[in-house]
Amino acid sequence: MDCREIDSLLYPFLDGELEAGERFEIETHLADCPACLTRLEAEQRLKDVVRDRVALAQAPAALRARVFSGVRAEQRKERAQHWLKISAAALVVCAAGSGVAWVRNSGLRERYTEDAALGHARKLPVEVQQDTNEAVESWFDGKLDYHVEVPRLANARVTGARISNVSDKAAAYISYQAQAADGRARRVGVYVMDDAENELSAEDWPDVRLTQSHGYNVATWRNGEIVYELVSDLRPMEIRRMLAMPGPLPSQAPRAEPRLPLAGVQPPASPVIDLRPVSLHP
Amino acid sequence: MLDFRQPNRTKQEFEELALAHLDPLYSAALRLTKNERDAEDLVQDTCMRAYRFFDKFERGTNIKAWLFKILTNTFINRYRRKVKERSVVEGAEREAVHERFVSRDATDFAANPEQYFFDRLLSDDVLRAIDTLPIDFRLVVILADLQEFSYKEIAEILDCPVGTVMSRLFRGRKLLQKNLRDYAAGQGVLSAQQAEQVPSLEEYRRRKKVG
Repeated sequence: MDCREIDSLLYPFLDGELEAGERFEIETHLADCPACLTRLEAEQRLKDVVRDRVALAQAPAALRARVFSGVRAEQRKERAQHWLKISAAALVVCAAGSGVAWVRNSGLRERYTEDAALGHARKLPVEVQQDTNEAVESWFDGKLDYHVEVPRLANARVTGARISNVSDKAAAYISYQAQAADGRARRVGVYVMDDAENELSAEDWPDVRLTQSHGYNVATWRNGEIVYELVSDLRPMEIRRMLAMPGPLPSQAPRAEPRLPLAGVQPPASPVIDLRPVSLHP
Repeated sequence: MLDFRQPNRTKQEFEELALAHLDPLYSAALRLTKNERDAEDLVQDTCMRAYRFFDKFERGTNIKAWLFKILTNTFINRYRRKVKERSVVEGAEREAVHERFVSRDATDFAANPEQYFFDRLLSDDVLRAIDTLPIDFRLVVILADLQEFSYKEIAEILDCPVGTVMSRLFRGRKLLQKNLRDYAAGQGVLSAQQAEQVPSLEEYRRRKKVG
């Protein structure tokens, strides 16, 4: 090995990149060549100087603190997400059980009652005008992904129907005209919707839940997977009589008197004025 | 699926492993960005990225090299544009630099009694000489001299072949010596450039095999 070869191997030698045999050859040469040894020492010295001078800079305490708090903030975020995940999972587990489901469903139930009342109040035109239950049923045929059975109501006749929705559920809306006790004609609307998941926890017919929303009385009941919501400004007694007709759903419902939990219904604000909204539609 | 692992353990591990290297990261960042504010931002960014991707870090492998790779990438992606530094010395200029070196007499070095002149330079002068290196050269010099990474590690950090690391290191060091010499004007010339070309370890090994 001559001095020229040393040149090309100087840095790999200093950087510890050579294999043992190669190192040995260089060391042998250096032992006999003071010039190369001096050059090598100078290069090594420069390497050391560069390292020492560059390494003089130390991370300021402020930076160290910033990095630590950054990591901590990141960790807090992770932990929040972590607990969110756990809570979400817990919620799913509970909902599958009972407790949370009840709380959630009672809120959901109120929302559906309210939406039904509001939908009925808007008095949108019907899509089809038919005066028999059969005609309305056949009109709905194929329009919704469940079979719509039109309830038969005493003292009321079907006038028409439209596709509607209650909250986010598609629903059949059937419009009736009923004869109130005072002899005046009253509008009655019945929403028929699929609730196979039992989200609304409606009572099974012949139990009927009667609630009020936006000045209307809303009667809700379930028949199998289908939930019915009847909305009207008729008085609770009148609704009860209307549903008492021997089976509003003759094919499935047992012939029984609907058990309206009238006791649960709020009495009219004044004994003189009946449970009746400020009439939106005479 | 849901991952219920507690992040605490990772954090502790990260603090023990990664933050031990905060000083070298900072001193390297300072030479890359050339100012303290940007260097701090760069290190902060590097650490946050490293923390976020810590689960991707293979335990037992070289964490320092991993951190420096993140530092380099972060710098190249974000700060380099801002600093507006040329990524390479353009061909003509590079040749000129090279020519100056090869024209020197190979015997200068050994004969020069001021060979350790840079020891007498102020620390700031040394840093300035480093800072004026084009970024690609500066990177390899810092990685090799400050951290004593192997050529292979540097190649992995910079995503380039080992040969490129060697030639950049060679040129970078020679350029650095020239810069130092300029600062130490009048104190004698340091290194002559004996090599007529960038040395090739591969070529040397090939020659040995043949011979």
